Amino acid sequence: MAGKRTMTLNLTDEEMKALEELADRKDLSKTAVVRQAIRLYQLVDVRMAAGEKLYFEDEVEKKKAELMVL
Amino acid sequence: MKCISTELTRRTDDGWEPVAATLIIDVPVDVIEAAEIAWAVQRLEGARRLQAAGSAVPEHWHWDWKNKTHKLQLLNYRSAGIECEGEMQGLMLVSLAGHSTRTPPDKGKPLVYIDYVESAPWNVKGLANGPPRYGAVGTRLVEAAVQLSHEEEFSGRVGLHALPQASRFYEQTCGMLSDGPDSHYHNLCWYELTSQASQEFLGGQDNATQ
Repeated sequence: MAGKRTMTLNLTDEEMKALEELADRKDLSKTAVVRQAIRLYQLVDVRMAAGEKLYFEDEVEKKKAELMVL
Repeated sequence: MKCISTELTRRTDDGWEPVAATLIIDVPVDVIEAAEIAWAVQRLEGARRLQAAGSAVPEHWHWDWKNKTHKLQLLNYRSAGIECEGEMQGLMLVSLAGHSTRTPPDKGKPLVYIDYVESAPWNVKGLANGPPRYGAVGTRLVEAAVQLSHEEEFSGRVGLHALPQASRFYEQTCGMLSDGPDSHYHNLCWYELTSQASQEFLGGQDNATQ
């Protein structure tokens, strides 16, 4: 993997709280959570640009909803 | 690309002997494609030989790594390979995001997902035209997945969907736990190596090579 670069991330209190909660729940550092988010966003973006769709499915409630990603 | 010295076993007249090998992390796409060219004919010939003999054909006989390398353009995917005596002996493609542990106590936490892992056809019993040449290829690659998992802060957790013929290896050699068939993925069994089991797996392999 390529060398790493450092950046400053400006977040609101709520965004920072969400990041900290995710880091805590996933047992990751905040940097690792952001890295995961970038990977997923890139993956979703590329696949949706290729015409695929992303859904959330609730098997119990038998609900399926398309997720719109900007 | 990162190269790490490692060891495989090589078949001799008397059994197996250790042989130096190189674990390559982030294998260049052209190297993966060259390996596929070297493997393809033997994989197909082996499958035809087995079919003609009425024997079970390995489930991955139709794999083509040239159709998998496009994934490496995305941050989510990384590759590893084992090179020994001038030839690629095994390849692995892993996904770093989008999969999580399904069993307690770490349920919901991220893991390294092994998308594909394959040993060169001359190392696979049945596909090889004769006895398999090198051993421990799969083990070294699963070890590499565990190491990647630690680098990514996933505590050694690794998961995969196993082809039925490979289930025994994941269960008995790697110590993975099965969550049973996954109806969302071709009914293949889900296997995962917990953080604890990954420590035991790495420890066991250290002892085995001493």
